[in-house]
Amino acid sequence: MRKFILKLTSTTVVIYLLLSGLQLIIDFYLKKDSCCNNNTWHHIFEGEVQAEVVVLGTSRAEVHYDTQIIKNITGLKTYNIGLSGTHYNLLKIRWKSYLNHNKKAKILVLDYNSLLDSESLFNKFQYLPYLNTNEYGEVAKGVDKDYYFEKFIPIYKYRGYKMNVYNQIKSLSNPDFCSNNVNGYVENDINWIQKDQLSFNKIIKRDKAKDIFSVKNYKKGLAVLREIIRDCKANNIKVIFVESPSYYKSSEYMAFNKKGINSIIRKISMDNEIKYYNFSKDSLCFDKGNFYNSMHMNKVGVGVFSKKIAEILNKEK
Amino acid sequence: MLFNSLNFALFFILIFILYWFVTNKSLKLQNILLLVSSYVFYAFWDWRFLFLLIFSTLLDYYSGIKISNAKNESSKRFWFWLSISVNLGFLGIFKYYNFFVTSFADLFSNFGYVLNPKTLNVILPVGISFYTFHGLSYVIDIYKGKIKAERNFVDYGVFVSFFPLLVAGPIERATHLLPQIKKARKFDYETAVNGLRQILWGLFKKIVIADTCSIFVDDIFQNYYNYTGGTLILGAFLFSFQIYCDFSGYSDIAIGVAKLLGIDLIINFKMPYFSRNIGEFWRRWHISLSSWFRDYVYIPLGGSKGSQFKSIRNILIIFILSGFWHGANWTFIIWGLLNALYFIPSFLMKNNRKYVGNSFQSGFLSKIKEVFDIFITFGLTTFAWIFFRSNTLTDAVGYLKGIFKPSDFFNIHTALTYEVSIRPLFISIFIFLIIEWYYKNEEVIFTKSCDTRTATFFKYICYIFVIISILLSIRNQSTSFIYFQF
Repeated sequence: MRKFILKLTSTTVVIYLLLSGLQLIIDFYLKKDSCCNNNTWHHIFEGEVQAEVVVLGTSRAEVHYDTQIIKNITGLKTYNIGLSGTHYNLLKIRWKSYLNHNKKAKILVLDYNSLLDSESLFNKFQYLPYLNTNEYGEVAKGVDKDYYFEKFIPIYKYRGYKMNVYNQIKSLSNPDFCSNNVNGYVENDINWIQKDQLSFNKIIKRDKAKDIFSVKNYKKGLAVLREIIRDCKANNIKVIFVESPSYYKSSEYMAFNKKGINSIIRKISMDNEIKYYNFSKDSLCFDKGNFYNSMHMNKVGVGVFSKKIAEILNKEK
Repeated sequence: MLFNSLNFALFFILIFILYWFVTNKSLKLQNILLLVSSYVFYAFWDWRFLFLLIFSTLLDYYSGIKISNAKNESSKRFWFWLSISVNLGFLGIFKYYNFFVTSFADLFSNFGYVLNPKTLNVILPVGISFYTFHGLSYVIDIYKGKIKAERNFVDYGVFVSFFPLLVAGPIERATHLLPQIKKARKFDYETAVNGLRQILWGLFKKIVIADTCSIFVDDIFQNYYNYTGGTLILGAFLFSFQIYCDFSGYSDIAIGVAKLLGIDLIINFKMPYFSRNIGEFWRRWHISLSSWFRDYVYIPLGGSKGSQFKSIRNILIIFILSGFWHGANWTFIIWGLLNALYFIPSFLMKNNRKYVGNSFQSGFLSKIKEVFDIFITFGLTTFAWIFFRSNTLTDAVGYLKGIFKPSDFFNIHTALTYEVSIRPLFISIFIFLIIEWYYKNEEVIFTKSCDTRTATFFKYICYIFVIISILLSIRNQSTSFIYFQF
């Protein structure tokens, strides 16, 4: 029995070390700058977001703020750290990583639409190389039941992502394969299609049935928002609230439900002397040609909107 | 509690510690521990059916003693038939009642009589087919005077409900398992290491191959009418691997777990997809069930002794019974019948026992022929599996018609291949076959009778590959084993 336990323990240790080594190698490649879709994370963790203006928010931030246009008009280096499918409660990972590893910006544009809490990590694959960071751990252990297994069992975190890992590493030698990403801004040069209309109708139906805009569903997101504002104060970063355009039918539907959120945002902006720019009734919202779905603008809409934002930033700087 | 779950891992570690470090001084205590842990294991599925298991165990235990003590033939026969009929009665009610009443109603409706039979809304107690067969063989063996009745209830209870084999076999015999339960067990290093190897290989088969195949198989069989012939053949091919890896994976884990407790269970699979004819396939596939039917049905019916007509009748009976054992559905019966039809020609030509040994014949041409035979046998079994997997006979026929649909045969895709790549699965299956082939003549996987340097190197490469594959394939929710439903 003694021999068995000794052999079992030593074999486990050897295998554990081997797998940990393999994981380090895979993570090393996944963290690379040229690795598709993950380079914003790379820039954040490597302290390469040396920008004067930083944009934070969900997918609406990620695809609405053209960093190049803003820079051209304002002369301020801009970086978009918006993150698709991630609401404020989980955006904390992005924010804290940025704050802890980079030179602080002068202005933070906080794009908000709803403050709904995400229940799970969207596109978890993007976080895999950063699973052992404090920024990830602090937030993820509350929403991810596999957090500890993935942290302590090497290789385990890649399960279900075999092809993603393979494709990401493959993309290192083929950058054309990557999506269009400039300083975090993801361009979408596409038009509204009927499928999006159908999914919009579905969202309306779903949200009505669920009453998702009740306060209990954005408690954590609100707390994170307040924390971000506190961080900005402490680091002398000027905050601007922006509600970027969404297609008017979606705004109409959201208007009633969002009354509560808007009043909270207004109160926060007043209490903290934060400028609040609401584009939910902007002329951009009434033309389908500016959108590729009800909540997201395409390249045409973003071009106009980014100029408007740049003008605001010119006043604020 | 599934073998491929964290719950089971924790449960087993606890049992292992109690078994070898706390109760190891007393065989009685060890057996009590095994019985209690087996009941706890079973209660995890559905505690209500635990009473059925205990009742069935008590009945066979008591009947065994009564048969042994019987002073006259009629008393002996009474207790024998009581046990047989109650056991089969339970199986009939829980597993076959609905099938029979609806089949009779369908039959009558063909003659214009509309019957509305009452069906039972009950779920099938997990493992009932397995533990019932344990009990049946025990009582039959006592009745035939092959063994003596077991007087110790705990020992008998462990024989029937030993947790590694309780829910999906292997179907053990009292002659093999009971003596081991009654004998003091010593921890043996080699046996334990072999046990761990088998657990590892079983987990690989289940998690890496079977569970991944099931993603595609479920979609293809569910939506067969949308897919091309090529995709349907792919679905059938993947199901062949799914069913084998799921079931033999379970058996490997069960045998491995038992080995860690110092108990040797019978081998249930011997790399059946390398069989060179159907006769050999059935000597390698679900061995514990095939041998059960051979010993308790086929041979008592006369086996192959007697007229050719009788022999063919007996073959048909055991294959159809074997199909029916899997479930109350015509698809299983047709599956059994198909296998009988595959088997009968080689039986008539007397070459069903042609391939009894493991090794391939020498000579290049013979080897080529044997490889060809392997492909043919695999093709035939895969064809039969289509019936086994389909929900109804109509689906099975629809599936087969779909294979021969002329349009776009080579356009192989499923809705899922857009989301889940099938490439890693093909690579895993390919490597899995290489490993099985390499160890095809060995009793235990990852052990070679001649331990050369190459063999040792290959073994460690296999370990690393298997462990990485398992870690990369684990799903958030452990998936059940197919044979639990039987």
